Amino acid sequence: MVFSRAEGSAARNFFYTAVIWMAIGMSFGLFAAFLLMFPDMVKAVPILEYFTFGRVRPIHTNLVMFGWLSGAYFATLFYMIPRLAGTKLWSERLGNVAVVFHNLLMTSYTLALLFGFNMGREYAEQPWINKIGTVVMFLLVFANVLMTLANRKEKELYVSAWYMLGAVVTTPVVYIVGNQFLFPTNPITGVNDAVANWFYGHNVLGYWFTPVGIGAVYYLLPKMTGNPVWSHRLSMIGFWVIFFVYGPTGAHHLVNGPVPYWLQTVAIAFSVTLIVPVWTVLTNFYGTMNGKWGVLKESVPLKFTVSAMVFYFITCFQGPMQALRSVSAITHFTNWVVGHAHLALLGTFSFIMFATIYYALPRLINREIWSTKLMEWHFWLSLIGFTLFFVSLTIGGLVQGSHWAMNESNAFIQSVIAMKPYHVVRAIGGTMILSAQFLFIFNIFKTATAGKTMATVEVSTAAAGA
Amino acid sequence: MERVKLFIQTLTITFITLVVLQTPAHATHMSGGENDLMGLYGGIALVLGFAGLLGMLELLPRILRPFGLRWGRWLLGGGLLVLVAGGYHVTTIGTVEEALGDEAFGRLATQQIMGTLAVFIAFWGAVYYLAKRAGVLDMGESVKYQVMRNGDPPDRTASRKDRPGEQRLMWVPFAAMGGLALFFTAGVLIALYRLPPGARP
Amino acid sequence: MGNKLEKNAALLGLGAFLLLSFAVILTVALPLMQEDLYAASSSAPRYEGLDNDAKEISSQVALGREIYIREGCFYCHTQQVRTLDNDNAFRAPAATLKDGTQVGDRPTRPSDYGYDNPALLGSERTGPDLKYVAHRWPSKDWHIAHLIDPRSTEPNSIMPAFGHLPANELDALAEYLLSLRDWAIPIKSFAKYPGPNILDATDELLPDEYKTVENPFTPGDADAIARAEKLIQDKGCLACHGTDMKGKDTSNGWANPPFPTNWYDAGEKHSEQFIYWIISEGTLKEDGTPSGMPAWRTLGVSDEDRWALVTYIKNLAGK
Repeated sequence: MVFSRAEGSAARNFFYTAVIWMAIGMSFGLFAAFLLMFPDMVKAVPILEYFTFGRVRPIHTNLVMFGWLSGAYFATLFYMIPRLAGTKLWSERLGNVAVVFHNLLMTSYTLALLFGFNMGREYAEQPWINKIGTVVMFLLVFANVLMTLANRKEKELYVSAWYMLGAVVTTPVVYIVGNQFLFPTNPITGVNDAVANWFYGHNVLGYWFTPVGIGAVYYLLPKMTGNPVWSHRLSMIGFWVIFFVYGPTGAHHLVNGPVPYWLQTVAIAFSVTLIVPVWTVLTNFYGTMNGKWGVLKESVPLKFTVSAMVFYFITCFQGPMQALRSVSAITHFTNWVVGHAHLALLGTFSFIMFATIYYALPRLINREIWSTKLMEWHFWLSLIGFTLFFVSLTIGGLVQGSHWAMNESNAFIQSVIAMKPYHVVRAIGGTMILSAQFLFIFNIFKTATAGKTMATVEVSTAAAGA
Repeated sequence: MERVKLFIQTLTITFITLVVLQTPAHATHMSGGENDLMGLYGGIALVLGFAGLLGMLELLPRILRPFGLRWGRWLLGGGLLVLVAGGYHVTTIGTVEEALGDEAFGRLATQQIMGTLAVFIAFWGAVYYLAKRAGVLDMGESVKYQVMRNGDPPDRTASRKDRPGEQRLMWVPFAAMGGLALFFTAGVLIALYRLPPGARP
Repeated sequence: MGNKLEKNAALLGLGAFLLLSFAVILTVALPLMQEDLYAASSSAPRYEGLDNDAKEISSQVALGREIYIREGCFYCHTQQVRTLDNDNAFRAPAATLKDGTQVGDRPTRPSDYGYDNPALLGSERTGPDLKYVAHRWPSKDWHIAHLIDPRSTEPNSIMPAFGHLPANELDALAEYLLSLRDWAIPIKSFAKYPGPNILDATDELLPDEYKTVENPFTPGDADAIARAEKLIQDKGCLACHGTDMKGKDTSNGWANPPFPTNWYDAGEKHSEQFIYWIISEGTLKEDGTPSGMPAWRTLGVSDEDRWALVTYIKNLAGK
């Protein structure tokens, strides 16, 4: 049962477990948001008192990045790659082994951080053994993807396959290099440690979260609108640019800081150029949607995709801008950056994954989504909650930044006081987002157990389309 | 043609105005001497380069297509020129040798000019080479139709015909993007410029 | 058609890999080859061996650093002073060494992190920068009180309370925080040790630069007193000096001298200059380490503000 060989079972199982990790990870996030409002919330409560903000935050980031998004991405690879390659997944059994391994690893991630085994590097907090496990997890999945592509019947590669293949080849390199070649002792010291850390911290976004997410959009848009992608050539230029430009941008996390000036300049220059691949995606998005905008009224996954495109544009407009030295002087170290990070990982890539799940899961398990109404609620609650969340953090960040810029750092507490109302609005937004996800999970659960079978609908549309 | 001319003139004038106007503000920049002129150069290069690219790939709207085919490569080239020359300009005027008494930053003008040039040339060179090798610039589009047939059939929404007026929905994400972009650009500008003069060196 | 690469997935993967390698070489390998990024200067904190005065570094410092990481302090506190005026308040104070070298008062440099692994540069300032926190808050007692209940020293703080940590760990954390300073700057006496009972001290202790200063406010100036009342509220003075302003000693929970002074007595006995000196520079314990009274001069309390406090305390005399 667990190591099933049934077609599509690995993708399905990854989707199921990913949404559970999402619920856990986001709950920790909301808990952290409340701790910022009520710092004494856990004070003197037995056991709970250990879980102060500094302990909760890494659990949130690790679980949403590796438990939820990466889990959903693995599922997406297992769903889309065989379809793009015109063949079956190379080994469903290996895929299911990866599912089990992923869940064990995430449990280990959570326990390590709960017990305070934090290695002191952002997004690379895990102890050495878990890092080795992460590489193994990547290799288990990626070997399957690569073998599927090697056995492909469809010889020409569609742009989604380009993006996904690129991600599969580069992500382990980013992880291994950025984690100091997995030496248990972390041989790189001093500021170079931060440089390597941010190479990883930024490029895990650039070479893993971005390409697979964009690849999924390029797959979903034509399937949902019935329009082929507007320009395949343009999308591929976007591919080459993204894989070239993303890499050297890591040091923009250290602008104006104690790292070499030339390194900052290189990072800024490449960050600005990041706008190019985003524009190729958005141009193609508008081109593909042309004449099919009405679908938006009927398809929740498309609503998620379109919102994700809006947020993608904003992220990648903000990103290059805040890399500039003068803007960074205001926004760096503030909650603006927190908003920006959520814009990419929640507003863009998680939204894309919601769309993917709504599109792919019914086809994997041959059942209709149980409730369209719940889907609508999921979308609107997520969208409104996230907008509140993002806007409050952005304004709050600017307020913080200008407090400091007015040479008020010596009265630092003023910026903490000024931030308080924004923490409240953020927590309200966060509560909305989390409750939307519980509706989503309930809907998925009901779909899996009580959804109508899909076969009849599928045949009729296929016939109508022919 | 007349319109294109007008467009280019406007662009040039805006560019010059921006360069002239921003000098005093940025000479007293917060980050210790260098300015963000590069952001402006980069932005112009992006617009030119991207327009040129669309022109070369015949992706411009029908009415502009001949113009794009004829001038696309020049726009792209112009974009690159603005980028490289701009980088050169910025590093020469913006680099303060050992500003802030911080030798460890390696603020050598030569190093920066060479660095910037190397980065931009390597960047455009590599992308162009790989795109060319991949045949991206003169390749067919057949695979995108095959994808519609491979895998699961399109969603049932795919066969839905747009009703009149529904195309207008495209303005919703457009407005959202514009609104959000304006929102935080204005926020940053307010934060930057409402600071009292003493806050900036 | 020239789309060889497109059909050949292996070549495509190789292309993506090569593009990433370029980034690795440019932004990881090149900095690794830059030697000045590894070098540690005499400003850099150390966690074992001897300090700049050839004294053994307590093992508590390294332990404190581990706890700092374990509790995730680095998510909210940066340890870098950027090359911006925004960060000036976080710089170490300027100092001139015996040989005339100027140290302190500058942004951080790579050589300030020579012994750090991991480098805790941080990415967010929910709380203030800590790179030079020991210059601003040199008292271990203050740090421990602040860690146990941050709201006791700063009512608006949103920092978690760490009272649940064992005493040894709190001590280690405080030791680590005190190591966060510019090590090239000698720990100089901010003030002379004023004796077990500060009320017995006289103006003879006053450094020269404090002998001649004058209070700009007239005694009992209402504006100055209102200003002082707000400051006392904001800075949490009464957390140590008692809500009745009568100070603390062993009878109500203060372990070692010097004890927080009774302000009524202080107003009675000390000169304006003496009170101004203590508020400005803080006090030391008998062993020469800083006591709980910080140097408010370095903590954003302006000259005028400090004079307002002096006026307030003098005004308590005889009440």
